[in-house]
Amino acid sequence: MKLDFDNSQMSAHCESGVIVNMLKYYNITINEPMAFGIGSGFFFAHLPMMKVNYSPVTSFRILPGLLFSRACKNMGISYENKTFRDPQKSMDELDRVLETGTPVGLQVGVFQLPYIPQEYRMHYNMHSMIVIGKENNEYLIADSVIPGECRISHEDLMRVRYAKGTFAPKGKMFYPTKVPNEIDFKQPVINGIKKVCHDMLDIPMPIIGVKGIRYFSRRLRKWPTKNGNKIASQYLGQTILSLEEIGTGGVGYRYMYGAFLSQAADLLGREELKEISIEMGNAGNRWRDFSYIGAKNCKNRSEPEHTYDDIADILMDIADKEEKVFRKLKKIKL
Amino acid sequence: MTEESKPNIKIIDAEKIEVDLNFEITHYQMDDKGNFSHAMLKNWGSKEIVNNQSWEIVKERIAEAKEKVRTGEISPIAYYMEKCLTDIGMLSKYTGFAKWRVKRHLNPQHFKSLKEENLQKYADFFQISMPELKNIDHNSQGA
Repeated sequence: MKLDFDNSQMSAHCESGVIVNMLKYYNITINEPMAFGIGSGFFFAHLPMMKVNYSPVTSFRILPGLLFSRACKNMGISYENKTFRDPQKSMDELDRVLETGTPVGLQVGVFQLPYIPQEYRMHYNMHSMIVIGKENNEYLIADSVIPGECRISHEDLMRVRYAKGTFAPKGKMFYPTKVPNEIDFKQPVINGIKKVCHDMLDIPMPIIGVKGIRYFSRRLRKWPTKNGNKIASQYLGQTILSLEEIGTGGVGYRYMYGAFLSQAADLLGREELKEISIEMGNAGNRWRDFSYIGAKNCKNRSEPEHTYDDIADILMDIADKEEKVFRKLKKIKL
Repeated sequence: MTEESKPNIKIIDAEKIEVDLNFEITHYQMDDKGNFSHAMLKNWGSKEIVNNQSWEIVKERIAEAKEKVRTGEISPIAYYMEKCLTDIGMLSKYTGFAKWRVKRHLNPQHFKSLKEENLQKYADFFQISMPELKNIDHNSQGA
């Protein structure tokens, strides 16, 4: 069986892409920045104690799965979200839900995912995709990052659903159970914006939000003296990769969020949101500077072209810019 | 090889990997007037430099591990671990050994005294044969 599913829409981020494609199946049109904004996926966290690729983790979005559940809650969509201990049970449940004509979203690990190019198959467990059908022993997959329809065998799917390591998916599956015929996006957009303001400004932890950017800046300043130029350059390279390349739509979702704010301005009829969206875009430009100047240090690892103080200063500037944006957003009575 | 019983996809071989920098990803942009748009782009500015560096580091680690295996400082498991872009924690989770045991198996002395069945677990994960696991130069000798 195969659902009548349109997966021609490509997206930058896998999870917002899942929301866009899934709602399209239920005749609700929404674009990617909107899905990302309503799900309030914007975030920052620097986690020096967690190492991926022997480098500390810098995250520009919220935890996997949260985007979908937040977006659904905001838009009044009922959904089911399950993890399983027993792999066989998870596959049976997937088949059962698929039979009822519901596309099912899955969280999977990329390390053993067959259809992704080899160089992108890291130990990265936060990838999302939609199962849209089953033929014989093969599942049909709509992956919003890979063009076209993908196929994956029963065994392989089971393996990627039970990939191991940080943020192990544990067979996580999610699907909407009840979708309203029409959605008024005004209130969800407002809720989404408020949630992001809270996440970026009010969480009392030094590694999260705007404080997190400043913390990251302080850590980065110390990298060359503490770890040496070579390691510092390795850390910086990994940060830039996660800023620009790992499904972020460029500079860690900053442009995407700017696009959302500018759409929100049109939707709510508030001109000041448009100005804020441009400020957000300017913060994005500074992140681009960070990646551009940082990359120069990666050219020759032992002899950096720019000092790490310069790079840390850019981060401080970004933190100020983003703080301004969210303070303003918080103040506006929507 | 034991591939027939398990329909497995091939594990990454970072030593011989050919990085294709032409993979297109959707990128968002802002123009001077503050209008946002998106497009499929191959490059975001410094893609080549950063990617090259990250693969260079991986290849350096592999070469270093290979050298150490030859001089007998560490066991072949360490070399294959680097080659498959895996670390001790991941290896422990995929093979079912505790972390401290994996660390132990990286020591050549302990590696020698490993039972066949335990070695097989590593060989299965790395998708290599037993002789290859015991001797990292097995393939080049045979050829």
